[in-house]
Amino acid sequence: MTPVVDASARDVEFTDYLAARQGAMLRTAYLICGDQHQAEDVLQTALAKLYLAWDKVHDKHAVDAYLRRIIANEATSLWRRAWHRKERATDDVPEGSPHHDRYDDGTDDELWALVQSLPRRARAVIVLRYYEQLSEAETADALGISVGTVKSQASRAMATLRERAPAHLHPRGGGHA
Amino acid sequence: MPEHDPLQETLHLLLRERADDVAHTRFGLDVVRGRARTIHRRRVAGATTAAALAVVALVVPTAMLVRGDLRADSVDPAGPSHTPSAIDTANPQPRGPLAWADLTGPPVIHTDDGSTLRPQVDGQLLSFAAAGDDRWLLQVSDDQGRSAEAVLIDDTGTVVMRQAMDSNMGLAGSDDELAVAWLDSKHHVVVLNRGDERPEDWGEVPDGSKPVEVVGCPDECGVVVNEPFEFTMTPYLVTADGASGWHGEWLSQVTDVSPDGRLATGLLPGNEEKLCWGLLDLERNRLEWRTCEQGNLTFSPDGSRLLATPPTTDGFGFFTEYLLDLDGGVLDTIDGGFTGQAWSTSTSWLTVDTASEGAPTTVVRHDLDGSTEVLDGPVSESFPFLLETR
Repeated sequence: MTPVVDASARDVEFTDYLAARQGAMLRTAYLICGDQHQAEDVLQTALAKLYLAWDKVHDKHAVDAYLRRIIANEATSLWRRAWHRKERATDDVPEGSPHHDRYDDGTDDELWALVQSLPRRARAVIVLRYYEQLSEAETADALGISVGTVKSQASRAMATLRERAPAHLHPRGGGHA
Repeated sequence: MPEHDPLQETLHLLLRERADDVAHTRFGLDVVRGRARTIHRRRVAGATTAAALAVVALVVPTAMLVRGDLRADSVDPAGPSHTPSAIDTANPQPRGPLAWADLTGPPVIHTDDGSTLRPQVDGQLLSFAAAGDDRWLLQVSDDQGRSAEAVLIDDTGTVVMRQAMDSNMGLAGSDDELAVAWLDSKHHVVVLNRGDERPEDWGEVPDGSKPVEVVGCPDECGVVVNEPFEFTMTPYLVTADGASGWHGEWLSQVTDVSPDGRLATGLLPGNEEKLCWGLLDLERNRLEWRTCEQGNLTFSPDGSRLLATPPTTDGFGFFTEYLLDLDGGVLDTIDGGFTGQAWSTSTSWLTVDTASEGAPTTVVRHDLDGSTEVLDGPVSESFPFLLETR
């Protein structure tokens, strides 16, 4: 039997979660989408789906994983990609202000562009593995795919990046030889 | 992460730095609730169009109505096995144009005579269907989308009946406005016949069942329901006396039944990676043709044509809509962004068109001669229009 949950208490609980975690989840969504507007749209939809399912998420310690999975699915869904294709005629890397950090020599912008050129699913694998630092099993669970698929997607994505990345990022520092 | 790989190390730092640059937009509970309402409407609309609660015409020979007895070799494939049915004698009246609801404020139903009806209900309208005699059955949910009621209103919008219903399944109408059906909160099939003020309880179906269409009324009403079966779905015919039949050998889900009750479209069993639809001759128990290029096939009111979408879409997004003849031949196509599509008359259909999610949206009528007319909009709301369920 489904326990009766007081609606106002549920909303308070959900609001607390929003305040605590939506910033982190927006960052993950942004890295997968590569676009702030799309990331906000994906996160808003994911939060709405989480809200509809809130009573069914009995283990509140697993909410992050649940939301991450919705974000990844939303970002890679056929429906959203269809809208995306219409809104942006090409699948090119989005143009934006070049990012400059304290070590900037142009490498980061180049590498970021390469990450954004990866297929959505592979990009999601890369973000979850190298930003969220999830294990292969956790990444597989978050994306609803097998560990083997995570391995192959990550391997192919890294091979692509390695092939196109500046030489000094190659293993054993090829560019500096 | 292996420490010796500079690319992996740089990637980690890059992603962290890029993430730190993200402008922090905060969504409040009200914003999340608003999107949740939109999602819930889409889910219900998808359940209504793609799956279905339907009252089905009992043109299926009686032998087929016993669960498990419908077998491909049990029917003479060439035999004129037509059984007289209610459809033959009821002489259903042609329906007027399809109605649509404007959801940008309190719901307003635009009816086929050009007038409007304002239902006196609170909450969000998830689906609606004509109940005959200028009455409408509405599926209305609370603001959180957690519960729903079936609400019957008269021609002034006044509520005359309400009952708790399954919030995730839509309504099922009949092609002749003789009955509407839904699932109540205990997964019972409930049918409201034209002229009645109280619905009939036709018994329980498994959790997860989706009603599709009501046919064969008034004498031999049945409701086509897609029921969960092992790891897939199976269509069943639910009737007032509990009889049921199934077409498991051909269809895994029924999408629509033709107005004369002789044909059905639906999803074919098979590889989930490739969705294929088929046209089934219910009398002969024969699959007439199949296609993996189109799906969600619905019959025109006169049963002479089919409206279709690509097989993988749930009816929302950018895709090509197809107009087919009953042999599966493509008569016409329309490309665009859609959040709804349904036959209006036998020579026209309505679409809800939008350039992108949340962008200006219109209700458009398409005629067979190729002409189009904007009937409502444009408005820049999320999911502003809802088409009538038939």
